[in-house]
This record gives sequence, structure tokens and C-alpha cells, in this order.
Amino acid sequence: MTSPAHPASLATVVGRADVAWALAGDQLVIHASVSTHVLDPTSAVLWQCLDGVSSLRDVFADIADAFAIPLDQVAADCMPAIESWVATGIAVDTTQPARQLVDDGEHGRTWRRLVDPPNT
Amino acid sequence: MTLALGDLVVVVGTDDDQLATTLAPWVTTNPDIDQSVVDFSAQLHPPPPVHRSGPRLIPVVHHGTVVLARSTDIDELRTALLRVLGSLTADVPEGCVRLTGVPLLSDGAIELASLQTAAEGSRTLRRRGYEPMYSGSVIIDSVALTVNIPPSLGSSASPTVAPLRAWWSDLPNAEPPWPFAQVVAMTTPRIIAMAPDRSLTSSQLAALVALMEYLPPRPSTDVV
Repeated sequence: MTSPAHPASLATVVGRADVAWALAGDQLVIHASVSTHVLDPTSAVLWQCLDGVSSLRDVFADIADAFAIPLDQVAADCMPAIESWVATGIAVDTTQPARQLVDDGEHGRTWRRLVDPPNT
Repeated sequence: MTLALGDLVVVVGTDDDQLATTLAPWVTTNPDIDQSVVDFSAQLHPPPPVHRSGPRLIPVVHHGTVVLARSTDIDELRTALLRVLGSLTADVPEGCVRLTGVPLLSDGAIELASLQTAAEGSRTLRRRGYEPMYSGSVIIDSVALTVNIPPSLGSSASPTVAPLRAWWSDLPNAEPPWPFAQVVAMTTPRIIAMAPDRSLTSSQLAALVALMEYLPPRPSTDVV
């Protein structure tokens, strides 16, 4: 098996727990914090493969098998997308030191606040 | 006044003593709350025009700058605000989605108009054969295609449940060539506008997708 060149492919990435997403046709709608994004069909498949258990190398290998594409090419094509998701905070690398995904509500009562609608 | 509704806090401003008395049990004095941001306002006694021929203000309920209800019937607006607050505290079951809009009752079914419709006033809507049930938002079961309008705040009444006959988009250009997913994404503000912390769950997003598949919204250019 050819190893993907990118060292980050050993990581295990998963969408943040507080990010909402749903398939809409063959595309995927993601809502994170204050913004909503649409992933194209290819990125939608990749997003759904991020289960937080499989390493990226395993995910890339599955995609390479499914679509009969060289593993290196899959890694090269997918890593920029994954890196952008991690950079924007909608996905996290579970092999990195833990960071708080959602407020667990154990630190006292937290008030939730309605936000004024935009003045439009 | 600042109200604590479950784990949600909202700031309400009103010029109506009766409404203030009704809301008194929920008033909280948490000093951490910034009262300068008013979530809801009920201006039920607008000042008369300076000149007799000047335009008269119609009593209105606002969410921020958005009109939720406008009517000359003050009791209707009191009920509207209490229904809005009741809707905020209602849980959204799995498979359902909460959408903003004006539920219009007609022949036993609900048509959900966009919130912009509320600015037209209840008299205009009744003239068109609709009975507005101002609530700010409703909970829609996207499989059964039913609308659930939670009871007013503090009421022990059962929610109003009726079939959803139609609903309107509030997007000016939601028709093709926008891709379906793009329209879904552009509709999400109708979920988060009334959601605490602008939160949105995957379940609600999936329910919105299902609703838009089973019963696509009518274009906003269609008049209610």
C-alpha cells in the first residue's frame, strides 16, 4: 500500500459536536455558530466519512477503493478541505489535546440569550 | 423587564400595564443581563398623532426590528406576545423543526406566511380570509406535515395542531437556478432567528430538508 505523503493523514478528524449538518440532495448543509455552508457532493462524502474513529489514512483508503483512485491522489485532494474545516473550527482533530466542544452545563447555570435579528 | 423562561432569558419592553402584570411571575433581576438589548417589545398604546390628520400608529409587537404582529385589537397583541414567549420555551421534538412565520388559519389548516406578512396587519389578513395566529414561530412535523402552535406562556391549554397546507419562502430569489441545498442553507435563518444562542441541531436541519422536499415553499413573490 502506498502511504499518503501528508503526515496529517494519521490524524482522526471529526465534525464538531455542536455543528449541525444534513444532506440536501447530494450536497450537504452545515451550520456552525453563525454561518451556514454548503458542501459539494465530493466534500459531502468526505464529511460523512469523518466518524472520529477512523484515521484519515483509513478514510482515504476507503475512498480510494470505492472510487478506484490512487491513495496519494485522494489524500492530496482531500487534505486541503479537511485542513480548512479544522482551521475554521467546524472539525477537530481528536488526536490533539482535548478542547471543549460544547458547554456541558456542569459549571453552574448558564443563561441562554436570544440574539436580536439583523436590522434588515 | 427581564424574564427567565426556563434556561432562557429574554428582555421584554411594553407600555401595557396588564401585560406587565401578566409577565410579573417570570421577572428576574439577574444583574448579568444586558437590558439595553430588548428582544421583544409590545407597543400597545402608541401616542396619538400630533396633528389630527397625521398618520396613526397601529399597536405592534416586535422582535428586535421585525414586526411579529400588528393589530388594532390590543387583546390580540397581548395574546400574540404570550404565544411568542410560550413558543420559545417549547421543546422541538425529534423530526420537527421550528420555523419563524405567521400561521394563518384557513378552513381548518395552517398556511405559514413569512414574518414580513405580519407587518400588513391582522385586518388585511382577515379580509383575505385568513385568521392570523401570531406566534412568531411554529413547530412543524415535517413527516406528518402538521403545525404545532404552542400555547401561550403560562397557559395549561393544549397546543394547537393543524395540517400544514402551504408555507411561503421569505427569500426574494429562492427559485431556480439556486441549488436545493443552497435554498436550504438560505432558509436556516428562519430556524435560528427564534432559537436561543442561534443554535441549530442536525435533527432540525434534517427536518427542514425533509419539509422542503415534501412540501416545497411557495415563492415569496406569491402573495398570501
